[in-house]
Amino acid sequence: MSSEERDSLDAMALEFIAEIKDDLAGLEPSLLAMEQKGERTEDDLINHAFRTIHSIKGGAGFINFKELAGLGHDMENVLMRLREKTLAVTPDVVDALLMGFDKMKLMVEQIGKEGAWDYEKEKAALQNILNPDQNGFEPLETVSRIPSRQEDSEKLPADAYQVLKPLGAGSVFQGQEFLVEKKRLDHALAAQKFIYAVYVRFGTDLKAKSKDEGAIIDDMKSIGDILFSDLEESRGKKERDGFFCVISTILDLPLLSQVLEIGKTQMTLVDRQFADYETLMKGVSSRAVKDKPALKAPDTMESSLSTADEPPVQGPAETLLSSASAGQSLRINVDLISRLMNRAGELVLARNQLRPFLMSHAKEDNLGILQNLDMVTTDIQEAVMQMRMQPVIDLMGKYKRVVRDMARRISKKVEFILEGADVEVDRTVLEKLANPVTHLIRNCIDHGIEFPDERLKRSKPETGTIRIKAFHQGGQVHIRVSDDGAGIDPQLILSKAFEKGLVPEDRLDKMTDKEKIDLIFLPGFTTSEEITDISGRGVGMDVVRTNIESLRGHIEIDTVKGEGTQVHLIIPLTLAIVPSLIVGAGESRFAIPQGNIKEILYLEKGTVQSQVENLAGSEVLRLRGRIFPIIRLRTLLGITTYIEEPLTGKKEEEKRKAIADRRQKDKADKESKKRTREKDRRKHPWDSTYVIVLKLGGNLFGLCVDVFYDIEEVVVEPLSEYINQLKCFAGTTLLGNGDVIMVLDVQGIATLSSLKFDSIQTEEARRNEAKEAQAKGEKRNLIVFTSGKNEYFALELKRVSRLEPLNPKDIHYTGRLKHIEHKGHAVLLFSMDEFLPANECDLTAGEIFVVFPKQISSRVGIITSGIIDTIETDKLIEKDDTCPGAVLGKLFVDGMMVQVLDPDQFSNLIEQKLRKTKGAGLSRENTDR
Amino acid sequence: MKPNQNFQYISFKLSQTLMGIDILDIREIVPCNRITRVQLAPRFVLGLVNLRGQILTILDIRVLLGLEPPDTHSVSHVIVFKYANVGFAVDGIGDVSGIDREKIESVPANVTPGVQTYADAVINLQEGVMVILNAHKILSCARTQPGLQRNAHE
Repeated sequence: MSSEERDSLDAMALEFIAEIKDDLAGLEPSLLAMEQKGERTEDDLINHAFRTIHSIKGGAGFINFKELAGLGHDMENVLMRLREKTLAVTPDVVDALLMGFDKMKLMVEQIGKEGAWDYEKEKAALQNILNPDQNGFEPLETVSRIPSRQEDSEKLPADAYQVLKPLGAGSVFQGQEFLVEKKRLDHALAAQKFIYAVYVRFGTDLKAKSKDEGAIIDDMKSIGDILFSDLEESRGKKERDGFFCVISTILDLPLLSQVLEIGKTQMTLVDRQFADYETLMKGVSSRAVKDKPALKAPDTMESSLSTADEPPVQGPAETLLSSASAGQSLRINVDLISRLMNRAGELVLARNQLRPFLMSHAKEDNLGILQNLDMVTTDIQEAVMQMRMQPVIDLMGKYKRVVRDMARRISKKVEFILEGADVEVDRTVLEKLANPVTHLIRNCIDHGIEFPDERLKRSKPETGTIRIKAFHQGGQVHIRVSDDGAGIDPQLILSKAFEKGLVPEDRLDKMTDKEKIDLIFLPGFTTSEEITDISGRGVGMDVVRTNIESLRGHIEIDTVKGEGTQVHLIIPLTLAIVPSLIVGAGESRFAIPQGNIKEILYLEKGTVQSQVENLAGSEVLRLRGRIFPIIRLRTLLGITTYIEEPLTGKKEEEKRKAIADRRQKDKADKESKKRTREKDRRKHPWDSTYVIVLKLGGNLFGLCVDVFYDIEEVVVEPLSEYINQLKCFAGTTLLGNGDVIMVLDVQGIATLSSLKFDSIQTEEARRNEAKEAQAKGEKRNLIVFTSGKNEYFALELKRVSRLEPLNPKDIHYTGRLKHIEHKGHAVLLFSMDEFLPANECDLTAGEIFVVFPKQISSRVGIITSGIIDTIETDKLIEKDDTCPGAVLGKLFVDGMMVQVLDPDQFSNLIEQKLRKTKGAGLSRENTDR
Repeated sequence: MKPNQNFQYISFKLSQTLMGIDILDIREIVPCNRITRVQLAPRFVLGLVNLRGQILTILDIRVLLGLEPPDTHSVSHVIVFKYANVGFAVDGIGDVSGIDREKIESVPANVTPGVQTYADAVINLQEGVMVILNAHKILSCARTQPGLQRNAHE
C-alpha cells in the first residue's frame, strides 16, 4: 500500500480490519480440522473455510489491500476445487493453505507497512497444488461486451455462477435473482468495486430522455462493468417495462444515479454481504461481530469442529446487523471496561462506607433499601468482572497449530485434546499464561512424547496425546497440561543438574525424588543435547515458574517415568473484589481472602502445648488425623506484641518465639520458680490463639492470629512499586472505617515461611511407621530397679552397659559426691533422686547395684538400692506429659508402678550434671534435690 | 515575569532540617492522620495512608537522606506528589515562597550521600540553609535503594 492509500485508512477501514482478523481467527481451526479429517472432511467445513476466505477477500477489497485480496483469491481457488471434489484434502494442500493463511495474518498484523507485500512463495505453493488443470486467471479489466448466458461458449459448471438477490430498496427488485459469473464478480470485488442491480425502465428512463438502450449500456460501461443484463430477454416482452442490469462500479449510489440518470429507487447494492448501502455506512461503527462460530463446544473439544452454531452465511438476505446465532456480542474498547471496573470497585467501597450509617439508623424500610443497594452493587460488580473474563479456550485454540507444526517438524505424532473450554479467566491473566503454557506444550512434544516407533515398542499408541484441562476449584483456576509420554526421570535430572554444577556434591544422595524433579526449575537447566529453536536453551522452566508466580499462582509437577507427566498450574482468579476475613495480630489488622480459608480453630490456653508438636523443624498441628504446619503471623511479620500483666496491668513486650514456648517470667508466678524447666505446662493468660487453617493447592497450613473479625468484601489494590516485592502481601485495601490494611497472600506466606509440606508429610509418615513397628509388638527388655523405698524405675537393657554389685562401705564421699573404685578408676555415682522427684536412695538395702548406662563416660554410674528384675514387654510406652522429663512413661508391673526412663533425656541430664560437677568447686555445689 | 526567574517552593521541616520542594511537583498537602505500617517493608517506606479513598504510599525521606530519625514519630503533614499516589511525611509545614532562580545554589560537597542523591540545590535564607529536594529522584528511590533493612516495627 502506498502511503496515500494508508493515510486514507479511516475508522471504517479499521472496522473492516477487525472483521478480517475475526475471520482469520475462525479460519485456522477449520484448516486444521480439515487436515485431521482428510478425506472425511465434511462439506460444511470446506464451505465454511471457503466463505471465510471470500469474506476476507471482500474486506480486503474494501480497504484496497490488493495483495491480501490477491492472496485470498488464490486460496479461494484451491478451496473451490476442494468443494468441487476435484482436489482431495491432503496434508500438502492444507500446508499450502496454512502458509497462505500465515501470510494473510502477517499482512493484517503489519497492515501499515510501507511498500508492497510479496506473496509469491505462497502463491506459487497454492498454484502448485492446483497445477495440472489450473485455470490461469488474469485479472479481468472492464468487459467490452455484454455477456449473456447464451453467448458464453465456455460451458462453465453451475458452480461458477453466483446468485445475487438484492434486498429490495424498491419493490421493483422483489423476488429477483441474478446469475453472474463468479469469476467476474470476484474480480470486481477485488478491485474494490460496488455491485449494483439496476432497473432501467424503457419508458421513464430511456424514451423520456431520448436515449436508447445502447446509450444506457454505453453509459454503464463507461463507469464500470456489466456483469449481467437481461435486456435481450425483456425486449420482446410486453409485460416487462424495463430490464435489469448488474453492474460493478466504483461509484457510490448517489453518483451512480446521477450519471445514469436513473432514480435511486431503481438501483440497489447487491454484493452478497452488503444489502443496503445506507445501512452499511451507518452501521459500520456499531457492527455486530460474528460470533466465534463452532468454538462453543460442550465440555470437551476434540480437534473436530461442530458447525452447528455457525451463523449461516447463505445469501445476501442477511445484513450486517443480524446475527443468526444465539448470543449477540459487541466490540468494546478495553479502556472503557477498565474504567467501568474501577468505578464498580469504588461503588462497592462507597457502599461499604454507607452501610454502617444505614445500619445504625435501621428501621423496617431502611433495611430494605440497604439490601437492595447491596444486591444491586454486588450484581454490578460481578457483571463488570465478567466482562474482563475471557474463556481459556481462546488461548488454547491456538495451540493446536503449535502442536501440529512442531510435531510435524520433528516427525512425531501428537494429538491435542482440550477440556474445560468454558473456563473463564481475566484477560490479563490469560495473556500472561500464554507463554508458560506454550513452553509446557513444547516440552511435552520435545521431551515428553516419544517418537512413534519407540511408543509402539512400549505398547503405547503410536500417536501421543497432549491434554490440557482447565477447571475452577477453590476460587482458583487450574490448568493441567499432561502428556502420555516418557515421564521425567529424577535420576536423569539429577545427573544433568550436577553436570551443570547446579547441585553441590554433598546434596546428591540427600534429595528426594520430588526435589530432584524440582531441579528443572533452576535457571540454566536443560536436558537437551542440542539447542533447537524449540527448546534446549535452558531458560524454560524457571521462566515458566516466575511467570506463574507473578500471577500469584504456583506450579506442581507429577510424573511417572515411562507413563507421562502432568504439569499443574494453579492461579488465583484476579478478582479485584474479594470476600475476605479480617484478622488481627498485635495492633494491626489484615485481610485474608476467603477462598483460601478452610476453617478457623480456637486453641485454648493450655491445650496449645499438647496439640502443637515439632516435626521436621516446623511447628505442626494435628487436626482430625491430618497434620499441617502452623505459622504465627506475628512472628512472620515481626510484629512485637505487648502483653498486659494481669496482676499489675503493666504492658510488657512478649518474648515468646514459638507458639508452644512457655518462657517463664520471673515476676509472674512464685510457684513457677520451683519448676523452672522448659517443659512446664502451666497455663497462662496469653496462651489461647486462633488458627486460621488455609489451603494452598492440596496442602494445608495454619496461621495463628490473635483475633478475627468479620468477613468483608474488600477491593484489593495492588501494591505500589515500593512494596510489591513483599511476597506475603497480595495488596492493600480500605476497611469500611477508612483504615488501610494489608491483604495477605497465602502463597506468599507459605513461601516466606519456607514451609516444606512434603518434608512434614514424609516425617509424619516415618513416625507413623516407627510407631506401628513398635506397636506391632517389638519386644523390649527393661531392667527394673529401685532407688528409694518402694520406688521403681526401669531402663532399657540395651542402654545399660554393665551392672555391678556395690558394697556401701566402698563408697568414698567427698562432700556430696560419691565415688567408688572400679577397675582401678574412680567412678562417680549418682542416684535417682538427684534427677527426679524421688526418695533418697536407700543405701541400707541388701543388694546395692551400680548401673552403668551406655553412651556416658565409663566413669559414671547410677546407684540403685536393688535390681528387681528384667521384664520383657511389648507395650508401647508413650510419652506421658504428667511425668517429669527424664521419665518416658509409667508401667504397672505386678502391682508395682515402674517409671520407665527415657534413655536420651536421662543421658542429657547426666551430662549436665557432669558438667556442673566439673565446673564447680568440690563441696560448694548445690545439686537440687 | 520571565518564566525562568521565579522558582516557587513549599518549605517544611524534617528532623530539624529546613527543606523545600518545587510546588509544581506537588499535588497537595494534607495533615497526617493514621499511617498504616507495612511490615517487612524497606525502611524508607513509612506506611500507607487513605486519602479520600485512594491508598497512598508514604515515604520516609529521613531514611533516604540519611538523617537521624527522631524518637517519636512526630509527623505533622504529608506532602503528596503529583505524578503518583506517593507522598512523604514531614514534621512541620511552612509556606509557599518564591525565589529568583539565580539565587539557587548547587548542593555543596560536604553533605551526606543521601542529600547528594535526592537534593537538587540549596538556598541561603535568613533562617538558614534550605535544602531543595528533587521529586523525581525521590519517586524513583525504589529502584535505587536496594537492600535497606526492613521495617521491623509495627
